[in-house]
Amino acid sequence: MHNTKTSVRMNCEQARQLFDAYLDGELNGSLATELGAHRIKCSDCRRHLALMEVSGHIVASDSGLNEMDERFTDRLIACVDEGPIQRQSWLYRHWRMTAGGLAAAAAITLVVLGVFGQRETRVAGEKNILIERPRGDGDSSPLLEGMPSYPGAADHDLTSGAWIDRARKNIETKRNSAASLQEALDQTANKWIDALEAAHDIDSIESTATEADHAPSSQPSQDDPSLPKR
Amino acid sequence: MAKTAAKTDRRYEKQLIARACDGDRGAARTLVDLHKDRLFAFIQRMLRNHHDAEEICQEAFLKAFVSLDSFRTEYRFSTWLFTIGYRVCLNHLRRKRAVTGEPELTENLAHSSDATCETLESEEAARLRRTVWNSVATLSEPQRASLVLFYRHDMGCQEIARVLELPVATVKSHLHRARNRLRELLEPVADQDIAAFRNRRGLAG
Ligand SMILES: [Zn+2]
Repeated sequence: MHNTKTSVRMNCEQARQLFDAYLDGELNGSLATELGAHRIKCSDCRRHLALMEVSGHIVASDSGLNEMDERFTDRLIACVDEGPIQRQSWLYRHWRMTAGGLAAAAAITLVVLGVFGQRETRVAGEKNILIERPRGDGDSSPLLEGMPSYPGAADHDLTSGAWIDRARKNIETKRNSAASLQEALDQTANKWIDALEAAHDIDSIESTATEADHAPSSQPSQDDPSLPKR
Repeated sequence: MAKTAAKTDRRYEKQLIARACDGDRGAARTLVDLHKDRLFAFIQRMLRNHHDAEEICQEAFLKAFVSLDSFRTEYRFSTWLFTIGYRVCLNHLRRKRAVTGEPELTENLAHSSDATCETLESEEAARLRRTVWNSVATLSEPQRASLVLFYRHDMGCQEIARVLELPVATVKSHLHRARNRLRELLEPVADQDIAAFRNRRGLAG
């Protein structure tokens, strides 16, 4: 659809088909340049993108959440120790630890552990959700079949280890909460106002320019009902 | 540099998991402490109700510990944990829906803390934030999850697909719909804010 020839100017419909790739950070090269050029020219698309970017920014700087109870970890570990299923597995593992050392014992343990692990999963599934699959609107990977505990594991990626960095940063952020929260809020507000103001200012410039300059050919072929009436 | 740090972290994570599997509470604790805030934030946004969120977060961790033996350490623990968390959320929401009918469509979370936010930020920004989160609350669960994981948790579409157990193309389509829905609902607020802002600056006209 958008097999864009570089010589032909992108229209709104073509531009909008690239919005997601652009917002996902997957748009490079000449398409990115063209979308940038269209964005400068077209106030509707500029506004569309500004609204999407601002809403993304607000979701990213989520600050409306409640703090977790500080005894959460204590309570959780206590549950691990006390729960019937969990106790079985902790005790079992403890036994395995003390019996460890002999290669043969270790080998048997591994076999038993496999069986044991599966049984645990089934027991947990009766009351819980290990076996239930999320209601998807598409097919899940066939790789997920036949892996009762966490099927998605088959598909996990090996390359990125940045999560732990992010987790630490998150904890760090929470610690500095009051000051950084205010800063984040101010930034959000400023970005939003800047984006809106920029969109508005360019609109004003354009509306004072000649109508012919306004490139009506770059408007979408059919009216988009979601566009603001101007 | 960052890669080396990531590798060290992966090695550290593997050690923690191995020790937790062997019954080491200290290691289990560290795993919880490293991940609980992110998981809790995600679950709050999925459930739109912080009262249930902590309990659900606990359930997710317990499930993870029960089957920790089956976790393959060449994968990311956080992705696995979020997969579990997402499933627990879906089941909780389904159960709740079965009992009470359709859940409330307004965001319970943003309001409680907005009272304090509003003193810190402009009226426009507060209204905008409320509009965004109320709009997020009207999205379908996979749309909401895709949006929150993408923006708040810095996950790419591939990783989100693993968490939601959906094809990448489906995740992209959820993100697309979520973004457009938010944009539609933001349009009128944006118009008001431009006017208010320009009035304040004496730019009206
Ligand atoms: Zn356009």
